[in-house]
Amino acid sequence: MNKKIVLARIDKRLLHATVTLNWDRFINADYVAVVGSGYDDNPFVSSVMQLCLPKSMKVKILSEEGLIEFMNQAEELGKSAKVMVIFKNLTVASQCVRLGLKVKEIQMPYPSVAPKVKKLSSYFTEAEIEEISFIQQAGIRFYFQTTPYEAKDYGSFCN
Amino acid sequence: MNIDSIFNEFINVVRENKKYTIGLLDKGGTVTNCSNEKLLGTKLDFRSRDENNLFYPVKEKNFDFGWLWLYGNDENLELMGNLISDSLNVRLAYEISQNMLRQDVTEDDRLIKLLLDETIFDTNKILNLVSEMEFDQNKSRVAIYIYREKGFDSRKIERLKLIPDSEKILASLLNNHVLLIYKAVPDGIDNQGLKNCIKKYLGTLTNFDIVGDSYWVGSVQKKLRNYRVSYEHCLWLRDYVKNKKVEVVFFVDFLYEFFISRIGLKDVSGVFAYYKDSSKGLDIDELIRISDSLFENNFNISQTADNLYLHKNTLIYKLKKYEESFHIDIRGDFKGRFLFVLIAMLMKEHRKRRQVGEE
Repeated sequence: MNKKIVLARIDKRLLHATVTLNWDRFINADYVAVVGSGYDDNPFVSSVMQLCLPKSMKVKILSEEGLIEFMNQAEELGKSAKVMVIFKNLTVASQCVRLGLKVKEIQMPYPSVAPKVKKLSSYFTEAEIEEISFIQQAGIRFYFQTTPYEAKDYGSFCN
Repeated sequence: MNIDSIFNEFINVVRENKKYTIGLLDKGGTVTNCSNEKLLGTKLDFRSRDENNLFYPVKEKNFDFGWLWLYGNDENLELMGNLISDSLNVRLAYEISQNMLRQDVTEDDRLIKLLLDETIFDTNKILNLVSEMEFDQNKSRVAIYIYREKGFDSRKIERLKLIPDSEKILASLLNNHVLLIYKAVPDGIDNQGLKNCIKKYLGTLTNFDIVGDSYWVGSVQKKLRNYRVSYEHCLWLRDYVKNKKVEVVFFVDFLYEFFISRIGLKDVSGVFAYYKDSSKGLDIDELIRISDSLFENNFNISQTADNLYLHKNTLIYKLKKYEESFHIDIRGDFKGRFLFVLIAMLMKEHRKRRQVGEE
């Protein structure tokens, strides 16, 4: 595989300005893969979503299976590609892990609750915590970070 | 920024779906761009939204582009309208931000051009631009000259200022292959601190795919007027130290060589040519080898002999010959050592000329 995930993020806003403006330029990705939007089988909506970024950015609107397939597709000989992956939610991310996605860590924006709260139960539902545990058992770490200027906060997840 | 070229991309996508018509209205409601060209110039009331006509404000970062209009006879119209509006606003935010970055780069280009101008240091122009850019001129900075054989991607250079620790830099692509950066460093930084600071920064650049084949780091300067001097030190290093490996070369490591190189060889020749000419059988290549090795080994005779695979006494014998030929004391006197290095430089120059057939 000569594609490398440089940022994996769960963000329900998908290609929101916060994501495209803050992150793309910091990680210098060749592709932005949006996973779980539900629009991957609707070429028209996919095309509209891709307009969020210039064509040079190569936006891919993918299903979970589509992401795995895309990651396994070889780039041109001798070339490698950096990929920024945005999952719509935890369920989508865990499904990708079930399908064999390899990634070191997953980023989440800080939830809009009191920042000093450190318990996962304050941020997530029980079902979401189960998804988190499943992904962590696959050796993947979670951290909170909304913008590149903030430090990564692994503490809340007890990775 | 030209919104029409961006909006045309939206029009091209929407045209693939015959159910919708998309338009851009100016603030007064006149259609200025549209997927149906026949409607250009038509006036619409953006306040009268109904089930077939949706209007969304197109505003981003203090820029007001008017209104987005979506027409259709479809139950998903609202969903599509929201999606298109979101995409357009995200895209505009992206493009505005890119434009601002480009503007920063352009200003850096202008300032660096003024600072490096060989003919005149235009104080007024420079100070006006510095003030316009809100550039902190009180920081100590050092020139970093980065060369890349394959050439730099100008889009990546535009992102330079977004890289952590890069907000106080001044950067410009002098040409496709050369990137010049003036990097701020802490005041009073020592040589090791400077090296650590620059290497750390260059490591960060590498993470952002801004990679050179060679790096030359000039002298630290505080005054804008001396930024050019730091750049010239990079140029001198570039010509003097041909680093083939990807490594960083610092001017502070070559001060001695720099000053030696500033001594006029004509003057040296004027003094020593007579002795050289009168010394029959002088092996110039050997003299240069010995001089270079003595210099590298801090004029330690034993180490130099080891380095040259000579017996110590053989080296001493050869040095005595040089001392007699040039009437200098190489082994005991600092001044003699210095003069011997100058003679070796002169010999190198003679050798170069001989190689190109001048002598």
